[in-house]
Amino acid sequence: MKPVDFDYEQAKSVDEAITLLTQSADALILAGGQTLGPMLNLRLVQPELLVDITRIDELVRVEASTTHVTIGACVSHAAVEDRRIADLGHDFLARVAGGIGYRAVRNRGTLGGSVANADPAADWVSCFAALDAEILVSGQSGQRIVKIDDFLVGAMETTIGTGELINGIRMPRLGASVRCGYAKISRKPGEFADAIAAIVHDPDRGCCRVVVGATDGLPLLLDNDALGLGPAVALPAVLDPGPVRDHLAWHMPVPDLYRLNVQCAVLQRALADAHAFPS
Amino acid sequence: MAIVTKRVSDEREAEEQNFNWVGTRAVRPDGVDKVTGRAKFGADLHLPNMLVGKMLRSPHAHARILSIDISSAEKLPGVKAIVTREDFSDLASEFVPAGEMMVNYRDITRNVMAREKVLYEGHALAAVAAVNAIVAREALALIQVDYEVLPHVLDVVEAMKPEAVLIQEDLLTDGADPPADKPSNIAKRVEFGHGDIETGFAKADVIVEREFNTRPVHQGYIEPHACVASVSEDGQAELWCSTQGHYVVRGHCARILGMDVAKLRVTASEIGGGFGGKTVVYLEPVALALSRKACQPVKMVMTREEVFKASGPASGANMRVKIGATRDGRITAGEAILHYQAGAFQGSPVPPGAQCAFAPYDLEHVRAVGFDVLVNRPKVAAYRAPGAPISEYAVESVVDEVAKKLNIDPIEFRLKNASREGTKASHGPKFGPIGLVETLEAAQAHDHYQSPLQPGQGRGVASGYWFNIGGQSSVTLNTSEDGTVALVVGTPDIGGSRASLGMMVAEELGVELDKVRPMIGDTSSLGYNFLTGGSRTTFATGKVAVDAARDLVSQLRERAAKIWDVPVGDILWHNGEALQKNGRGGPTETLSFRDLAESMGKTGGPLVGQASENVQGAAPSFGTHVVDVDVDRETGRVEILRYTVVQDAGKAIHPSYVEGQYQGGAVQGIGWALNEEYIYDSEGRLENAGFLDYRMPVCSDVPMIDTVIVEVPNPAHPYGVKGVGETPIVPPLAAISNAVANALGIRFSELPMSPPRVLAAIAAASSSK
Amino acid sequence: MSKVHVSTIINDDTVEFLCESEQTLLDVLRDDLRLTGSKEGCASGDCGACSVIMDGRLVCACLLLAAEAEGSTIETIEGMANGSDLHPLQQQFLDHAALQCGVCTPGFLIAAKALLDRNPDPTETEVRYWLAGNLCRCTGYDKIVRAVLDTAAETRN
Repeated sequence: MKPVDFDYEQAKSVDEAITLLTQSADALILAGGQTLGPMLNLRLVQPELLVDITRIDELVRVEASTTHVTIGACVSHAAVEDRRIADLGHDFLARVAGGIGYRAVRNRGTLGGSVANADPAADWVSCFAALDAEILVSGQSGQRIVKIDDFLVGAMETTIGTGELINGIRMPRLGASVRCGYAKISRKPGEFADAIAAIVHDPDRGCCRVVVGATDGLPLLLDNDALGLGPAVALPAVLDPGPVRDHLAWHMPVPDLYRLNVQCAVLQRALADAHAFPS
Repeated sequence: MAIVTKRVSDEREAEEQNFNWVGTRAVRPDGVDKVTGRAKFGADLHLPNMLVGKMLRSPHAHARILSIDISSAEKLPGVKAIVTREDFSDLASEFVPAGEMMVNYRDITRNVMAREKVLYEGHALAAVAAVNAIVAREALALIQVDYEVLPHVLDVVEAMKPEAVLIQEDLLTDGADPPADKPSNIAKRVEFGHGDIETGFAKADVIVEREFNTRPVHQGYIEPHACVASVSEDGQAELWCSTQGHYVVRGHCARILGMDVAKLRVTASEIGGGFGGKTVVYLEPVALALSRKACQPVKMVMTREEVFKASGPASGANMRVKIGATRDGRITAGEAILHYQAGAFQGSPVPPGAQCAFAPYDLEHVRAVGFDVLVNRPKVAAYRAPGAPISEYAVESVVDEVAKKLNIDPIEFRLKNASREGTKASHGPKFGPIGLVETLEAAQAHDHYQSPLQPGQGRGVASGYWFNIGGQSSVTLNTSEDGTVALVVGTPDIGGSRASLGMMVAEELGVELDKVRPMIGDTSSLGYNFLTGGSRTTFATGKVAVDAARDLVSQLRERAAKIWDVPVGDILWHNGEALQKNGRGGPTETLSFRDLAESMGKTGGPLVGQASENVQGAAPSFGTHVVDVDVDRETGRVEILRYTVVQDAGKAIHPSYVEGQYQGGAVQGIGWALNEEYIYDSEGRLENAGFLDYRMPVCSDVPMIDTVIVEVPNPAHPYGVKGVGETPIVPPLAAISNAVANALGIRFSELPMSPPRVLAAIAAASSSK
Repeated sequence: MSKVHVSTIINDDTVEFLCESEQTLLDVLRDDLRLTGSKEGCASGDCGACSVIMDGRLVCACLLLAAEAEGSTIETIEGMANGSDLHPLQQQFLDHAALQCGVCTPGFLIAAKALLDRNPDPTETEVRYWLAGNLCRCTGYDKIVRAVLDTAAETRN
């Protein structure tokens, strides 16, 4: 027994979860437990109440329309890796999911949990930023939809409020001529990344988002103009290293040679990944 | 995969020996319990009425303890006992062996429970036994400690400066020349060597001198320290613990608790890794003290965080090595100056580090000087060939650089200078039959060394040495009525030694392997046994087990002689049976082990084979490793492409377990070379006290590890065994560093060669072009 | 705070227990149910020594609260053999000497079983990446990987 004294409740609906969260002074949400578990075991958090939301059917739903896919917050990384959910296109989500932690972690860890934790080095944080995803947040006053750029406000910081929980993540279905790539560099497989790059180049939807992640703060949405990128321009196979380096260095207030190097490298690798999957 | 080569000297029999068991790959007798989860490790024991013990540990790297107030904690319901320094006597200074290192009782008692000061973050200063962990933790939070925080020092070079804060305030350097007249953090100076290095350097055509810095690394055993202590109202005590040496634990605990040794019975649980780190006591005396107060069993188990913060790492060091050689490749002189971190108490393995540094080389002029330096970190403990991996890393790196400067192949260069039988080692003795040359030749001839590299890849070579020890072992063979045998030994099995011991005994007795049941007896069952360490088990306990088997055989022959009424000299023992030499009573008449066991009551009583000895004649094991690497120039990540271990085992009793030692030690060395280090903040607190950020190699980090077992028999062991467990961790550090140097054209003199360091070096090298 | 009542199936047996909310599944297995085959190496999900299979999926028992196991089916190392017949993985580990101290072995066996149940023909690379969540400090992984590959080959024949 390492964790501290707390109560544990299994919510059966989103409304019940919200009620439980608002009733207790110090309640935390338990989803996959892969981030919360170590924190409880090492006594880095001391909640009064844990609200287990994994039995709520609504939170493991996957809704697919012609334009969007909405994934429930408690869908596991493994479910995505195993392709048990609808594909956005190019197997993109499954490719990202397969690199998260280890299989045991992926079997329990959830998309909602990852984005709520907002660790800059988390794969979904960078991936959702590249997809320009929307976060569906449920609270006492109903549901609100927040764009990812507005949802993430800093390292480990989101705009989620007390008594609120992530209900799902809504992502656009990718166009027919999309190129999407993902790469990360870490010292050991399964470890948190030292650098991440996620690219979604979708001419049919008129968007091109290139994100560098595992920074000290928010994922970095690169300036298309600075790098000669855009939805109307074909995605290059390789970016000119000089401007890339300058652009990334400019975003790094405290210079870190290693970080800068791996960010430059990972961006080129994500480009290669994008081109490895033909339209 | 293991290619076994033999070399037999002129004096020994050349005939090929056909063994029934020795040299085969039998399934280990304790294996089924390990693959089914039945085997009981330190934390797996539950006793009735058992309490949970938890330790209060210092949050400061260095502080005076002004007061400890346990009054609130004592009142908490469910708390059954609390101990602090008040419950332990101060012990006088006395050095005793702990594995291959020495420890001092005055220091051990303070490391187990702080007295005047806390000397590292995590230093234990109080402990609580309570009905469950929640109450125990609450009680810890209620203990009030008043600290006077002091400045701290973590770095070995900083700690040696005259202005450094003193950790042990009255420590004068033992062996200083001239003698020390004021206290410092330098506990000891040692020197080994012979000849005159200035004369040697004067003869050299090429001299290379380099400074090296390495970081402490942890042994990394997957099982944290764990024990259950149970003291009765009359002071008799039982202890169950995960340890490499339960007799050593018994001795230390009895001394620290002021009890008669025989009143404490220690049982060694299965042990989930030790590598030298479980040759000392941490929790055990405290659990016993708590149990003594509560008169209930107390279980204490370290968390992973506690393991990193409070149990022994291997020393980090600052070292300088200088080697000179003539143009034709002969080393004329070698010098090493080693400064090792001891942690908060003296006793780093700088003496063996200094002794081993130049062991692979036949040198006329050699000098190795070592300094044992205190820093505010946990006290170091042995880690597989303690002291040798880093000193030999430094020497093997410089050797490689010298060979390159002379344009001589690194294996050729080593062959030109190799220690052989009769060479005077730098620490004094002359080598007996050693296998260094055989390992170099086998490495050179190996497909790995012959195969081409792709552009950008690099190959590195290094040799390594460890002395190995003998020591006290005591073995009993108890015969059951049906001719099956319990083989009771006193050295815990950390890697499969029960298999090898059982095989040697079955070989001697001439019986089926499954008729011999090896087990580890508790401390009351046998005479004194030194711990499992120093690569001594298959050698020393093995020799004593063989002697015990031979003792049993001579008794069996006497029983047969009695039954047949013939002189015992007429009786042969062959394939598990007694036969008469001269065929009297018929040439087919035999008495089996079973027959003699069934009738033992009538022929003289119980049949027990015994032997006890302080075994001498341990032979060192030399190894040579070859590794190919690729370096990702963008990320600094070093990839191990191919790895081959060649090492002399004397005789591989069970080749699979010898290979396993080679492979396991090599991968530990890979972690040491590339990724493992302690990271501290400015307050002297450990930032990476867990497996997430303390990066040990995982399955996907390494390829298959190829092994070659060389056999140059050790005459002091009945089967020729040399210990093998430690040498494998010695060569990897330099082999990998040399490989990276060949891949990048950049020499590294710092470990670990983590991606940021490699990248920084690449950047520095290209900007200086 | 009152205890939580949990009903599970563990190694094909129906098991009910009462636990504190804060007990992990690993704590309950080891301390209350005395199934000590699963080990605690780190309490942070980094070493895999506590690996069990829950509802057919490989998980770290140290990162699950015991209460979360309500209604689940759990397989631990103690249930891997079939009576006195060892699972092929267990036998191959013994034959290959794929264990030295043995403390990581239950975790590796469970993880390897989860791999072969899902992918009966893994490459060496796939085996290594799947088992990257299990730490071994004794063997250097060589014989473990060989044992898993040979089990896969043996099972396919």
